[in-house]
Amino acid sequence: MISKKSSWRDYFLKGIGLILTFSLVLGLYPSLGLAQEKVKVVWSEWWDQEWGEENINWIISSFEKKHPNVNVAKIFTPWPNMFDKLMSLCAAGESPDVMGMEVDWFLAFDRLGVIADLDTRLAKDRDFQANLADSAFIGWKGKTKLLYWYAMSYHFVYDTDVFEEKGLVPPSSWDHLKWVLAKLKEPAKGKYGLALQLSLLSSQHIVLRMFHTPLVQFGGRLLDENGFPVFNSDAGVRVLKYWKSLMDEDLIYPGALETTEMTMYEMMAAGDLPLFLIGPWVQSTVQQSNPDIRLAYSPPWKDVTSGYVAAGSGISLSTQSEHQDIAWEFMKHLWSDEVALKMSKVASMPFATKTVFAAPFMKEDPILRYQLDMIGDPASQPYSPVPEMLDLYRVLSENIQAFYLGQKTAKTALDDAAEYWRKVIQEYK
Amino acid sequence: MSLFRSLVRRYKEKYDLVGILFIGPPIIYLFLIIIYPLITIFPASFQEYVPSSQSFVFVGLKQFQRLFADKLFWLSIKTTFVFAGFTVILHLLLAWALALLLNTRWWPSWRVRNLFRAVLLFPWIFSPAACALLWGILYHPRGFLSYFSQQLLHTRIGFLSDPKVALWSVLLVNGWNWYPFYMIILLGGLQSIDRSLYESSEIDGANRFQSFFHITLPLMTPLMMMIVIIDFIGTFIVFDLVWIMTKGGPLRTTYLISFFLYEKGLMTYKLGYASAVSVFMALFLSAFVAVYLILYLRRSKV
Repeated sequence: MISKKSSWRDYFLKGIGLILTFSLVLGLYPSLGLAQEKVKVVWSEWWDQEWGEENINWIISSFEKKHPNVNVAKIFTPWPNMFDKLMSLCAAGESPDVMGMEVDWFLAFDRLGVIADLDTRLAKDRDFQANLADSAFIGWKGKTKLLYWYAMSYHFVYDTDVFEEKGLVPPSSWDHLKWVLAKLKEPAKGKYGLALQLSLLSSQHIVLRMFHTPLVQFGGRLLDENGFPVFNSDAGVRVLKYWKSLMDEDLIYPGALETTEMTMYEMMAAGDLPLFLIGPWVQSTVQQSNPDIRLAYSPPWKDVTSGYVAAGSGISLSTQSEHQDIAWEFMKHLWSDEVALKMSKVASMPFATKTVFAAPFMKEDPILRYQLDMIGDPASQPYSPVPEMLDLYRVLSENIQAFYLGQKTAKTALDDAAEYWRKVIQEYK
Repeated sequence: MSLFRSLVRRYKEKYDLVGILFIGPPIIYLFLIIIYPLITIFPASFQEYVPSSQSFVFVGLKQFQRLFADKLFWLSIKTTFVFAGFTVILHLLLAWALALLLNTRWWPSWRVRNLFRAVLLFPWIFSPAACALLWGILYHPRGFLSYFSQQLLHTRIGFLSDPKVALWSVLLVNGWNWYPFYMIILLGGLQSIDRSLYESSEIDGANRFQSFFHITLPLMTPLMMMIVIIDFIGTFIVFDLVWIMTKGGPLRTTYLISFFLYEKGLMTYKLGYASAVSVFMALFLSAFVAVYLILYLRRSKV
């Protein structure tokens, strides 16, 4: 007679054996070439929050449909943390294949040897290159390292409902802006027309929007043709004194040195901020909190010049990528008409292709209609890369803060910042 | 084989194998996370990192010479000292006051006391980053505290934008986040003091203050010494809370040594220089603890 105990033990052992065998077969299946392995391309991006995760997922799935053997994995990090995240990944040798990149970051990554030159690839893909907007190519020392995914310029966006309610027209000059702010001010309710973003939590925004944008309008330049700072000019002093006059005349929200971009999005969504000096992504960002808000850009105006800052955000290819060819195909997909035309409308951003620039909706969309004029204005200045840009921006921002805190004169603040910039830039020459 | 077995048997007799198996992983983890990096930064501090070739070049003491000549470094040291020193004082004052309060017999019931203790522990459940975000809202120009200061003092205080106030604002947040930890340690210490000592002193005619200064404080001194060391070291290397709130501004009035290290190491990728900063911090904190211990031991012998 077979004992019950031994039969249960036998079944148990046989079961374990079956599971192990099954696992072994499954494990061997791909390595024996029985399963088709997909190529993985990693894309680091921050646009989930600004444009909606479903749109980013659509971009990925539309590429995967055309390339069934490719799996695109995204690494989403909110923009304020993206630089640090990328730096850690690149230092660890695990950089994404395709990287969302800013002009003020890419030299730090280029120094690590992580950013691939794109000229050879562009030369082979003439049609693709020809369709890119002229301003899309960002390089360093004669080599193209970054392509703008979208170009943009910064100007005043206004809440059309608030302006209609008050019977106001959007500002048409820097002096008119003061007049409009005086009309928008409601001191009894603690409401103002504009907030200034002078918090050190984002020194890039202080420099690009609060300083560089009016600097161009007032006839100044950030850098000369040799790449050295010249912002400590009369135009630079005028910029600082202009914003100071708004503070002194109590025309803006108090606490400028603590105000951040996130706060301003919330204020605009709540109807407390009728004017915002920012880029076109503001529409998609604010509409996530308030889908009913209607925003539009003020028409561009001319002071000493009619120029603005021609900026953008871009994409780079990693030298650490094991699948550079596939990664490049994915990059090209991002600029394809299919993606660029759709995303320009969804995100209200001028994607940097000639097809988008020529599209009728670019002149009809209240957010996009003036972008091309501002970017393409002969007096507009590009957003040029500078070594150790984050450090330089910080120093300039701190000196600007010192002026607003009454610790330095405008000229001294800009001279001190320029001296530091010169020293750092010289080291890289 | 028999030799092997006898060796294993002798080993088992001498050492508790199970205990070693339990303690082994944490020791390996400590080695990998703390000891190994400490060992590697020392040689790195005598080298310069070349990002293009991802290699190090020996430069001798050049990094330390640069470090000691760097005004920003000394500014960050000074700020960190002030921040850490006053944070320790704030923690001790708050923790003592609340621990004494919780240790009294004035509570109507143990349930009320426990409820109060739970409420006092509340700040500790927040991570430093969450604290920074929460207090950032309170300190905001349109936040509760700004409104309160406007109503009470008829002037708006720039908690994070006024260079005279910003450091104290972040110090307060750090104090608020960590005082429960020290309060619990002190409370444990107070509750472990033998009650008969107080009874004897009462019989001898000592009042409450005399009991506190002659019984409580001396017995609690070793615990306080430990708190000062842990708190000072922990606060000296704070990064996340202050970075999220101010990023070292306004005008670098909240610029800590950890920011200097972060900027040199991860933002500008001067790894050799950052290693020199790390070595300085490690040596300084070790020296601080050593001097403190020596002074305490000398005093306790006297």
